[in-house]
Amino acid sequence: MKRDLDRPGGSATLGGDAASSAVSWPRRPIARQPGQPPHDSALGHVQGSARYIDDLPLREGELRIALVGAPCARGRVTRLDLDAVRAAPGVVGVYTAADLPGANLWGPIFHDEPVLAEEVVAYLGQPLAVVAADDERDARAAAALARVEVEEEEPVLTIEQAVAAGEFIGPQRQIARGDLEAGWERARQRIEGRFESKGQEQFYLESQAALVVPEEGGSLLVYSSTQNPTEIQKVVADALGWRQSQVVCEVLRMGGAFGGKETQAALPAVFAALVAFHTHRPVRVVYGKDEDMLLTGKRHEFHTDYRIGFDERGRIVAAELDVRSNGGAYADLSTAVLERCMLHLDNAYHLPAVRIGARVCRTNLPPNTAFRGFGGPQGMAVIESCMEEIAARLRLDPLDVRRVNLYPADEASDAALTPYGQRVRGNLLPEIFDRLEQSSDYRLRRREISQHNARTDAWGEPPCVLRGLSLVPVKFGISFTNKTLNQANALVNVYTDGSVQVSTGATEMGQGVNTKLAMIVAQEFGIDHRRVVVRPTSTEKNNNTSPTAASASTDLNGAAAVKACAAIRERLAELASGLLAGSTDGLAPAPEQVGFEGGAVFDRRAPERRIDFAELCRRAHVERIDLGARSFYATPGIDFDRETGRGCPFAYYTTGACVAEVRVDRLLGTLELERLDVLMDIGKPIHLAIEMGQIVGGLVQGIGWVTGEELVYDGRGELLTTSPTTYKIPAASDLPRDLRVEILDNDLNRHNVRSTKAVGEPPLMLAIAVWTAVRDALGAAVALGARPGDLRIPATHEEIARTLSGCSVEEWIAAS
Amino acid sequence: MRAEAASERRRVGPEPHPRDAVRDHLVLAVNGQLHRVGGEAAFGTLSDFLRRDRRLIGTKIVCSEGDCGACSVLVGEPRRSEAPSVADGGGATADGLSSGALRYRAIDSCIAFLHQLDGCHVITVEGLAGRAEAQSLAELHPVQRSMVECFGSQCGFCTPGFVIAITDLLAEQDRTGSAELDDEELRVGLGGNLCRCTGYAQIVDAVREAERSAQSLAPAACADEQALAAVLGRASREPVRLEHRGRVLELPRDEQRLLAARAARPAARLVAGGTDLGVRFNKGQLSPSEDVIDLGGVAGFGGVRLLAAAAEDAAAGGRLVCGATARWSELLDAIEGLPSLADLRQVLRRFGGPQIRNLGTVGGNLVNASPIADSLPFLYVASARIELVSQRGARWLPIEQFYRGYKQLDLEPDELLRTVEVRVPDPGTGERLLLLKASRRRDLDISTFTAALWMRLEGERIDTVRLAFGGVGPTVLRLPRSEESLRGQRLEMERFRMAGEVASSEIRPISDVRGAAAYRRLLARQVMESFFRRLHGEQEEVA
Repeated sequence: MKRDLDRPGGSATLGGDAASSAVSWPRRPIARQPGQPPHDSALGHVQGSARYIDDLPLREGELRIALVGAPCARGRVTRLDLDAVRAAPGVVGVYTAADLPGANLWGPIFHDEPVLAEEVVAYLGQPLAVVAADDERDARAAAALARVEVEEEEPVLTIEQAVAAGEFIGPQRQIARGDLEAGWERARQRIEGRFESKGQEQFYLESQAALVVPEEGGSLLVYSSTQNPTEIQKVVADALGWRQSQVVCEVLRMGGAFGGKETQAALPAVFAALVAFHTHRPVRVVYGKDEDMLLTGKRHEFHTDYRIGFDERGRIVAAELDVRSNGGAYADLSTAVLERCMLHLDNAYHLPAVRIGARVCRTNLPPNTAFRGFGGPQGMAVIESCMEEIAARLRLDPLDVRRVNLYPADEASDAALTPYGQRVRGNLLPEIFDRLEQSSDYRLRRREISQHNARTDAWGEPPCVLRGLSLVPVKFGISFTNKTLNQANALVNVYTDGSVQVSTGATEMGQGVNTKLAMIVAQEFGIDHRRVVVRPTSTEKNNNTSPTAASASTDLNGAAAVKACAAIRERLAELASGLLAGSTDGLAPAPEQVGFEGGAVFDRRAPERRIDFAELCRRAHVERIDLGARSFYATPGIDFDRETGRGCPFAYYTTGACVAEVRVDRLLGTLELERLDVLMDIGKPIHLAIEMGQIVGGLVQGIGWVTGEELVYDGRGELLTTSPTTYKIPAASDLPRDLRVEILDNDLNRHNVRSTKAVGEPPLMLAIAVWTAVRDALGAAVALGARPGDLRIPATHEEIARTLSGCSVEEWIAAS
Repeated sequence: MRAEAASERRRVGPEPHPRDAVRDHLVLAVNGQLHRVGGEAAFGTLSDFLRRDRRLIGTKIVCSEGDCGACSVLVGEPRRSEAPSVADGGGATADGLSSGALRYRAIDSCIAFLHQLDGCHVITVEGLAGRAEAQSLAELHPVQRSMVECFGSQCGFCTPGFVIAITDLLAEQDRTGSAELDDEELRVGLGGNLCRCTGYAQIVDAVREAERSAQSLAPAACADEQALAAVLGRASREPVRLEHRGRVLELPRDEQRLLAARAARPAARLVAGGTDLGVRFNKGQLSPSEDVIDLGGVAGFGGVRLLAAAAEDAAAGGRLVCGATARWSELLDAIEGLPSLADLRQVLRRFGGPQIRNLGTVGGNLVNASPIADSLPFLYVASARIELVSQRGARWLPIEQFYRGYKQLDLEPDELLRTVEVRVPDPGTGERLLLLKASRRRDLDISTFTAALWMRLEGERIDTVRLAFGGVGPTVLRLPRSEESLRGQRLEMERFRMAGEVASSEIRPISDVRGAAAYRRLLARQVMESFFRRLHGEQEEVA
């Protein structure tokens, strides 16, 4: 097995050299590697010709819709008077739950969420009626005329309120391992407290959208901006009381998704389908940004009570963690998100004795849902915060505390066992720690920063600008924890000119899955990637597909596509072996000797004689050989029992680490990112520039979660941050001054297609290093009254200022 | 879709009007083609016109509030017939986009009213490349090609906006003749656009790559610019008055006509930059039957002038005179490189994004009367005076008297703001100006808190002091007690800390979506120490 670890840097580096001064934006672009295609939609993107739902040509007789929503977050509907809406100009129809021919309950795990609310409303803005008009402005103006009266009840909005009211979704879950009692006896010291992280808006730029076109004979074609066309097909069919075979869902591309379109693209699509069902006219829905942010679910807020016992080196010997998430009004994916959180509370650390209890709280907010990381970030942040706290308690460098707790490279060791019993195999994290510690000059910078922070100014105080440093690892489990979803099918059509179309259940949301699939297929046939086209995702071509989620789409769909290619190749090799042997003296036909390379096929024993791939395809068709294949893949060897909390839920782990250095103005609470060094093990990358885009993109999204992005609700359960004016995702200037990203190029991962590793979600969690670095910086202001242990996620300027002031959250609110 | 949007494409321009004739439709060019537009579309936004009427779907809509840049387009204006402004340098200059006949800047099309584009050339992402839907890299505009080569696009939804913003940024670089954008220019240049996928690194790569490209930045749609500019230049001097379903839209070109229009329609919506009105329009908060007076093209209401006091220094101790319709980008250009206004420049570079600054006006920020308007604390401490005009004549008043309460102005129904005038601090006589903007995000954000301090030092003694905070009350506030606590005192930390304590007790901030009252009170206290440290020469700062 080839270990490519000695090649410096693996290949790509972003960022200035260490010698350069304070300002060095990422400078050295990642050059496109020879033979690597551009993103498959890039030419359309840059010219504005790539189409999204709102860009599709206007259909004859097309309608637009608007929603009548709940005026409060919780209560019983006493009156829904839509007469004025119906009479308004331009209105074609108004539909309520009573107009749904099928079931008024849906949900990806539990069917508990009404399509349209009836007697009870459970979150502010929850749709009660759909208004259809020829023009969107007419529809919106009409919807505003609805008279909705609700007998209001006190809404449950926070985790504390839900716990007090006993409002939960799904059962209490537990994962436990080891002898806790013995662990507590061994513990020299303990820390305990509560860790809180807030939610995060996905902030895809294309809002939720769908276009539903009625077709002949009682069928619908749904164009949706969704990660999950099969779910759209099912939900639409159920709501209309139809068979799934009557609905086709097609996805060309999404203008971003990040988990927000895994389940929640369904409602707008169903609303449009309901109107199309009644009017037999095409119907388009495109949420406005405010509407989208107000109505759709987000990353879950989590509270975790922790009790950690450790020895004198900071090694954890006992850990008890009690986790609660804010699920919103309906189940959606909350139980699955909770599960992934529980499975990532260890992050990269061995917890010899551990008990994790967890539960989803039901509140009167829109149902929270998937967002890149899917509970993983919320879990990892807890243990990383604990690492800082343990180190502060023992006056050790947090890096050393992390190091002694890290899962070992030796997979046979007892310390390689996770709380749920899966063994951490092929673990490169110890190596990643070593390399990063060196390449980032961690120890040297730690000394410099300690000296800087220890300085006193002319007034005997710490410097105005405090600096912080932190190294945080990421170990992210790859596979859906719901075993069923780990399957995929692919359809590969080869044409007589040697060009190829591929269709899978993977949807393109910008992550480049189409480009990567095209490369995989091109390589299977040994042809130029330009001959391969990945077609829009459609439930007509690929049935019963899993959502494009859990970072696993290239893994699953790529593996299925490889199998389909292999089937075709086998038939072509059979034909080619005869053709090649016939024209070469003394060569017996041997299909296993046929190679596919450079756009041609050849017999490895006589490689000079070649048949052009297109010519071979033409011949195959003449000879009545099938040039198409549909193939199926299911991830082997995974299983998890959520009742017992034990099993092997993941095919493998994607790992990496990040060193973050930050500067904090202790007077104003402002924060600046000085430098980030990232090193990841993503196996053998298929397309380096695309994987780098995922790494940096995920990282910056994570930086948003841990720093500037804050959801603010009022006491009625209304989200106040419903647009980029008030909800601040990172801008270009929020990039660190110095950003260095490297990968450990290796082919050690035998558990995945082409020795790759999934890369979609894991980099997001690298950003936790930024948060722990802020916490580290605040440690220098303890003498001034700062309480670094109080810092929550997100560390906004205000949150930093509060923590520096020593005020508790309660005191801060009371003072306001 | 609005059927009544009467737009027709013409190769040749409209007939030239006699000097005082009034046009009854808008004239603008899109990607090299002239359009005459009347009806509902004239009252709507530019992005609606592009997407719905022209089916130019490359311009994307995300937020409809000018806070994401996805809808960015380039707008070329004929040089405004002003008294020569510093920004214009008295004559148009050629740059990467244009021969100089038109001056291009990127704006957010979602919050620009179509009538603001009368006499302008709009270039959308479709107008950059040589032909529609180019299928090869070679046919692309250099910025587009760099974005492809450097993987600057992932989902692609923000990409057209970035392509436009980068093109504008590089053209600006051309104009200033700088060899390579420095990090600050790059940051500022991309500050008006959001991307959620890439984390920006590969977009930054694309800017660097395009910067190295030798290929011309000129959009294909600018091929016949001279002829176009002549038609548009004429159009931009013609007054417009159009009616649709009982609504009147007026675009006066001179003060006399403007004042008459205002006197006749004191309730009409006044539009200059429209960056706030456009947002309210999109949110359905404006009356759909309101008459509209667009004063963006009125001669004598724009421009930025620096009247120098001392010959050797362009600004110090002199006066800065801004027309009400001067854009923030014009003001920024005018104060470029002036050390006496370095802080103002810092704050203004964080005012909206480039697209907002290219549209929004100085007067708009004042008349909008928001207590968190970024410019106001500065204007308060710089003892700004404003000029109000009506058919009855002109009057001047100190800026503080203009504001009577939350969004309450000393402004008669027939009056209009014409000029803002401030004194520029003179470091030579011990004058110092310090400004702070605190916001959730460094760029493209509305302030949580703003502060301005003007001081004159006599040796180590504080002779004059003026202090104003924004975001701590219904209007921007002067802080007389805090000022009193500093006046006549020595420049010492203890004095400033005490002033901070006084300041935090002198304000009554509220909690809102941008911050808790406790945070604002803390900032009000700590900013004084922060200012002191800067006065004391501590350079280190976290932006």
